[in-house]
Amino acid sequence: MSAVLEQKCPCCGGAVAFDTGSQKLKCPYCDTEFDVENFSQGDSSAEAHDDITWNTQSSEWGESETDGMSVYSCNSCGGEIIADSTTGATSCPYCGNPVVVKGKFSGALRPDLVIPFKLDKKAAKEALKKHISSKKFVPKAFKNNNHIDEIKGVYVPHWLFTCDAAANISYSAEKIRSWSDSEYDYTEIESYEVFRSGSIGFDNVPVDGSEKMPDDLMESIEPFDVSQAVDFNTAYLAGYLADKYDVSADKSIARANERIKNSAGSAFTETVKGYTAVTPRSVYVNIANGFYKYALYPVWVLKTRWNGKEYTFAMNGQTGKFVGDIPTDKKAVTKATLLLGAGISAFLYGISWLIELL
Amino acid sequence: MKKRIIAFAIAVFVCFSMTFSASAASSYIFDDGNHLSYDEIAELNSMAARIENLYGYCVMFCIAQDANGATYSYSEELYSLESDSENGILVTDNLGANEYAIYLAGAAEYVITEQMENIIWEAYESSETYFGGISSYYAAVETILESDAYTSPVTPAGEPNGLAETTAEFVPVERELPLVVDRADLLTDDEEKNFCARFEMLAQKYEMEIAVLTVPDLEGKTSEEYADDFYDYNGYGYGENDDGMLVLYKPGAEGNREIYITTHGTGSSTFFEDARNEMIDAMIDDLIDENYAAAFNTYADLAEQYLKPNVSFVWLLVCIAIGMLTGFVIIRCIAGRNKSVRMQTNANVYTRPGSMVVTGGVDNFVGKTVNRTPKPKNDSSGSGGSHTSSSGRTHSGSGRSF
Repeated sequence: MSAVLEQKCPCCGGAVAFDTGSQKLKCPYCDTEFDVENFSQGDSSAEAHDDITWNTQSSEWGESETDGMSVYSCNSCGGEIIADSTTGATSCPYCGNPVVVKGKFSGALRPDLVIPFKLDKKAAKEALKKHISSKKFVPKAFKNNNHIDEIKGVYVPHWLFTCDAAANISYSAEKIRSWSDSEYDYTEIESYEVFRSGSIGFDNVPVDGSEKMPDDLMESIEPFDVSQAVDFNTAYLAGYLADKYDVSADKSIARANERIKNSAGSAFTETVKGYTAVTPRSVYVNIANGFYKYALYPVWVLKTRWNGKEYTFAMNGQTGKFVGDIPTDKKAVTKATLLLGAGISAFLYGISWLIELL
Repeated sequence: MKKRIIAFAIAVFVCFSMTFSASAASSYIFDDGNHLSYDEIAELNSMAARIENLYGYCVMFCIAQDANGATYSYSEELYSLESDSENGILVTDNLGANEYAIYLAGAAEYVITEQMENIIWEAYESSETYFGGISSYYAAVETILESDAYTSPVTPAGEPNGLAETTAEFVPVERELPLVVDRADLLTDDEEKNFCARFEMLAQKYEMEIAVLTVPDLEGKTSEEYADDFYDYNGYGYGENDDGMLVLYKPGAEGNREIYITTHGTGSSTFFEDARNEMIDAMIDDLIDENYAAAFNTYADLAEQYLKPNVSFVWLLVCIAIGMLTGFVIIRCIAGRNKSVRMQTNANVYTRPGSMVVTGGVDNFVGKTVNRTPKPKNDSSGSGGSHTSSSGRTHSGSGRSF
């Protein structure tokens, strides 16, 4: 069953939203604050007499068209909300009330953890401004006329992999020594075969579980501090967008393995000391005692359009780490390269003259 | 007695008028009345020094204004006062009394016969000028000492002026000769004067003495030895380190001509082997055609070219290349920061602290190889041809016979 859930204020009946400052639910109408835990009961009671279902029989839509699309009704105004089938939380386009789509996070699909938003929309906007102004060679038009097309706080589904990695690695290593006498230069190369085995543990290696979110964007705003994560509660989603995972844990595990293998390899390579050169010959990393968790990570996504191209920025909603590619002014880069090049050339030439004259 | 005092006074005056180093009898010429120029005296001194070096005789000449009647005793006095050498000859031309005296000291008394004394005097008389006369006098003395198959009464080692094989430490002397010494008489006096002036100017401007020496023969030495010794023992070179360059040219028939360029001090680094060879190449045609002035002019031009502070065009290109490359890399780095979205390569931050356990570690020695490559021989490049001259000083030089 799918339904839209509003977190209703017990005092005035308005739709409450999660407030980042107080880390509590807050009613925008009567300013009453509620602890997330206390509010959970209300959540379940609301769930109990919620019986609105979405219309799967809609004849206007062809089968393929409705694939990946869901239609919900807003609890406050009854308006129709059309959203992605993976959307778990959004806001009503008519009355603006934050809504959580019920059923998206139930049963096996229920996230284990959630890291609540620590930073609000204002912080994200400011971070974008700072991000752009800190960069050089940004086209002036982009810098000055920049306006944000879209800004949304999204709980992005992540798979967190925890495991022990057992490594078995062999290296070829060399010790190189050089010396010379009056007639010859000598180079001595001592070759070694080096083996290392052992284990190393990794906790909560995240992999983006959302198809919509670019993986590189999500990995760029890492790391999140999982120790601040709390048990999942739909109350945290109020006021934000939330997606259900659409990349399964099985599919995501390959990416986690890749990163774990690289880290395990380099950790053991660091124990091969005293050599001039070390080259891994074979690297076997076996993952043992692995389990994964399903978590929602807070991300601010900002979009802006310039010269017909869309630029996407992301901010870690917990730490504030801000990333996003910015266009470079090629003309300015060329100009600066020539100027700096000419400057360095002139400096070198001047120095040579100075040396020559002294 | 009064005359003696006057003679003594003259001797002292002469002694002071020559600004020589006080330690040894460095002057062989006493010119009361300034009949000789400074340069002439310097050249005559060097001739005398060479004779002393070769034969062990201190051969002196004195032009006296007034030593009435006592010419011989005046000579004796002057010799004992001025010369440290046991063996020697002092000829005094007493202008005031219109008489001359030849004083022979030590072994000279037995070697120089009366007939020889006449030859010596005639040689002096044969020339119109004092300089020509005294030059002839030295030539005559040298001929006598040479032709008599005469063996030196004393080994030349340790003689004043340090003209010797190098047992004692070389004591640099001040240069008395001009920068152009034309013993082979290849240049006119005017040309010589002009070159001298030009080289003096270069020496002042660039603190480097450029010199020319022409000789009729090398006296049994190699051109390298001759040039080095001439440079060292005559005090060539600018400043404390005697920085400079000297070209030695010995004319002759085809195949017997010799040219050698020796450098010392910073001269060796300013005039690298390439520079020296370039100079020789540039001069050789004119030397063969006996256009000596043109040849030495080329030499002076090239020397000045190398002395002028100069940074080559190729270096300018190298500077531009390095500058542009560095600029490109730096700007690329700065512009590269505009891209901040990239995949992580590892999971290092998610490593469980203290979880790493190394259970097995083996380091097996497999084998050893030793490569031996011969060191590159550094010849021709750099200052090149560096060697130690008989004085024990380091010279660089390039020469050619043609």
